[in-house]
Amino acid sequence: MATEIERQLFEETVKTLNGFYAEAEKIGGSSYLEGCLACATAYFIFLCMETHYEKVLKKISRYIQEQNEKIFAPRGLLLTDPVERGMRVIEISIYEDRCSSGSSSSGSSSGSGSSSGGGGGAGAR
Amino acid sequence: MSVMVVRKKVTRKWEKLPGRNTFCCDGRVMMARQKGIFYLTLFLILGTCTLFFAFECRYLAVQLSPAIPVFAATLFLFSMATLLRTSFSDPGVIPRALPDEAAFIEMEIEATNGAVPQGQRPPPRIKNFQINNQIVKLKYCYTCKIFRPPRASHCSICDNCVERFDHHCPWVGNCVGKRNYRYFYLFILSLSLLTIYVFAFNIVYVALKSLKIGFLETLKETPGTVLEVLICFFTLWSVVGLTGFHTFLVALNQTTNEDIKGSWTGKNRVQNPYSHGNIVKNCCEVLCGPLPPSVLDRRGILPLEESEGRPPSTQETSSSLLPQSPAPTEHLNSNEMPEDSSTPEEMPPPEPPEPPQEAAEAEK
Repeated sequence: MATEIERQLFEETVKTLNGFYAEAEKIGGSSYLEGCLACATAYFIFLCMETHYEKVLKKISRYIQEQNEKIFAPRGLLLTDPVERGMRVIEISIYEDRCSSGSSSSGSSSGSGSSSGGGGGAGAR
Repeated sequence: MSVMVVRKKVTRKWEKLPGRNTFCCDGRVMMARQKGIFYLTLFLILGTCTLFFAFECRYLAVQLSPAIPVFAATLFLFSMATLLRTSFSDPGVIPRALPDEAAFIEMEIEATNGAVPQGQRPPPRIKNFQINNQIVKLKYCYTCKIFRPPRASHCSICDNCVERFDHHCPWVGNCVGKRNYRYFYLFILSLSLLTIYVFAFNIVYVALKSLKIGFLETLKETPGTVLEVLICFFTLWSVVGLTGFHTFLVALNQTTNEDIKGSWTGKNRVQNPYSHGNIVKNCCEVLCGPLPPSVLDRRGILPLEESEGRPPSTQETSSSLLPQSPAPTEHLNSNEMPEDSSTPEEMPPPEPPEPPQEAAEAEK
């Protein structure tokens, strides 16, 4: 995959993602406040309110979509949101052209995926 | 030309999830299979509190203060809410690996260990990762076909890997893990307080009434009191003890599983890296920290191709259930991941040719 994408670009994407995950899992004033408020309402407030974590996850999926459109798709790659893999791995699909005409039309392109183990998408612990 | 409206029943993902769980309310509620003891818990709490409100509270509210039943009701509602939250929520189940990933890892394992004869248990597969200058060993789960994140464990009763696995609690009818540990702790805490409260006020009631009409007459008038006292007495010893134990665990940011296995105790073992060293900080993190949402996606809709038998697609949502054949793989450099320094990248076999748009169409 080193031939498909520049190392620096990929590193930057992963670093940004790790930053987002760190923000989601940050323990500090606002998360304590949210936790205590939720406890005080016997957690019924979660029926109407979205948690901070969920808001950040939405930001992450928008970011991944953006990155896929701008950087990865032109190189024939596709990044899968780690949330769809149980927050274990960040999956990169590589689309190979097998058709002799060189176009990636529907019948002829095949995909292969690569995944990195463990902590990539799960953020710093 | 006539218009035909066809109603197709949607299949949601929870209907095809592996593991031994039961789902209710179209995937909104998730529990273990055996729910008998959970119904007993519900019955005991509801029964005791009904008796308390019906008999003792009426007398005590008049004789002492109306705040007594009000406070009891608050405690009762809070413990019921936390019980139902614990029992019905996803404890942090990790979805199983997709067939591609699983096939590749199994091939890698076979390559390292050689073929294992039938009937023999394969040796445990461990991968070392370096996260924040600490070596973390990830164990491979042969059932879920994944390398478990740290602190995750496989529950044999529910047949799932659960994140930050604490224990499987039959009294709540569910596993206790990352996502529902705080509800479980608050449940046993509020139940302890409720038990002590009901027990104390039953004694007060018997004492007050005995002064007027005598002890035996009191018991004859409200025989429920004896039952309540008995239930509270036995509950006290177990639940209060359990609350004390879990308070100890919360203060040290440990799980029951780690405590039993002695993961962080002993001479040659690493100190618990998840503890902040400060009791208040640990409590705050465990009880008030950020709550990750469920990654199981129980209510997602499965594409119609599943039932119609169309060729498989590359869409992630459907590929976990469709047959995929393994193919040659290649190892990539470990340079790709800045955070992990010691792992080779894996590449599952190529997926069959099918653009993602077709599957997306079916989902609409």
